[in-house]
Amino acid sequence: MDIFEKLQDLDRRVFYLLMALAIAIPIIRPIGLPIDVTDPVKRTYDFVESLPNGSIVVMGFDYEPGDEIDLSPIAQAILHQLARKNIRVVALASFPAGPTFAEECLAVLEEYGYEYGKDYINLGHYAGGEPTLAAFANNPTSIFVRDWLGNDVASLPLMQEISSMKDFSMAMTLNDGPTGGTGTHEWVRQAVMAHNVPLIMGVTGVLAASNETYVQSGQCKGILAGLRAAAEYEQLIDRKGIGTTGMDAQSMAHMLIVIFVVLGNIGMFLSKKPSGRPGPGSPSRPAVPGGEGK
Amino acid sequence: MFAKRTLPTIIAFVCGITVVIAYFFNIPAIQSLAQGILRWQAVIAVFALGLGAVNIIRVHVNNIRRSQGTNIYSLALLITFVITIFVGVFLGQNSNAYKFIFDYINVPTGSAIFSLLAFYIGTAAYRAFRAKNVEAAILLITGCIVMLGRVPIGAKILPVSVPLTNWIMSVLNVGGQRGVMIAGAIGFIAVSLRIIVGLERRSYGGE
Repeated sequence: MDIFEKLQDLDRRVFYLLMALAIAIPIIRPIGLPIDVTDPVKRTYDFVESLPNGSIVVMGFDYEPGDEIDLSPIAQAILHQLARKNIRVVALASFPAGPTFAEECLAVLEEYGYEYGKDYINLGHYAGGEPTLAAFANNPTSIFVRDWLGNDVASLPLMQEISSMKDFSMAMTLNDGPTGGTGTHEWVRQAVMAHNVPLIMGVTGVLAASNETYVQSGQCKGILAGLRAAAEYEQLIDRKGIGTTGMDAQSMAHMLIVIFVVLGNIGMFLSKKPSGRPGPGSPSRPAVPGGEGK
Repeated sequence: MFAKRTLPTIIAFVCGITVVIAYFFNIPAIQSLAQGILRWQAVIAVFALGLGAVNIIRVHVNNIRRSQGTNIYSLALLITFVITIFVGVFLGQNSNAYKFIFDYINVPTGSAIFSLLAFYIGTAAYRAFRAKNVEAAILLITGCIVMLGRVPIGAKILPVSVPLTNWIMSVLNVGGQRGVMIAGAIGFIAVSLRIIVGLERRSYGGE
């Protein structure tokens, strides 16, 4: 086996080791690669800035533990911006793990002197996905009688200002997909289409592709996709967090994959097996001149 | 027959039509009825969660019984299941014990499973992204551009990857996604109508 054939079939354990190092080293010793703010993130930031001071927004923590690293940094960055505008927050979750993430993220608001029940609420988990969200949108207290802490929801001052989804100046979903919870499509239907409430999304990197459609159609006012968006948002609010430190690791991981892909292709183009295996290209048209039958 | 087929069909028809009418027309009586149906749905969904929990217990108890106690995975699941339910119900979801389970078991294991994707997708990309023909070459080049364009290092090494990534995502990707979504939505409407009028027998447990 020559070196080019080896390049095509490197031991996956070598890749695993290098990947582990590529992720771990930048986390332990950050490189500090500069992060440019992209248009979708800037648009989302500008939209949140345009919300009226002191208004109320609803945030859906629709994700599970596996996606926390992508979505909690986005939630925290947005919450910092909302707090600077004295915007109040109602949180709810379509996954059982969601209320705990909401609680951890909403702790950001206490830095700004926010008071539970008056300035923010964690309503907790709801089962049933879209129909339950629809019922919440029509009458929030009909679905949540008690909040996450066990308080009577109707008695909380903030909830007394809300009778339907229309009372929110913005809806946001932090979403890792529709399996088991309320997906982004459902939020578009129930917040935007049914109640005309502007929606922004924080989604995992893989969901950016399918939700970009809503941004272009104007049904979604902004989309923040993955850790990269969190890092960019942290730049905009001038407060570095896990998003920024995580980007070095993500950069190295992507780079490693690209390097391996390139090496594999170099190996494929340059390798010549004595058995006469054709090089790249279809059998009828070998890409390596003379590769066939050698 | 009536209880198994006709009654569920009638319930689905009445509920479905009511909620659809309430979405399009502002008739107070229908709105109120639709809101009641949606609340019922939320209650039923909670019962479905309970049913799922009972089902998990049944399946794993049977696994342990069949393997005569050697199935440690089912045993581990049942033990953690019982502990978590006990902590959640009796100590509360805001208790330190619940937070310990969440912060030190649930979140790390969930993240660990998800993070394995970096390794598996990486090796899969290394083996699958080979320019064996034109289509594969397009996939390979697009994949590499998007991977670079999505991270800061890509913008430094290959600045053109950023605008190219934005173009791929906002033009090529959105065009394809729109087609899929519109086709899916039309199919969804068709299936919903079949369920509401009782033509989709599988929804009612039939063949």
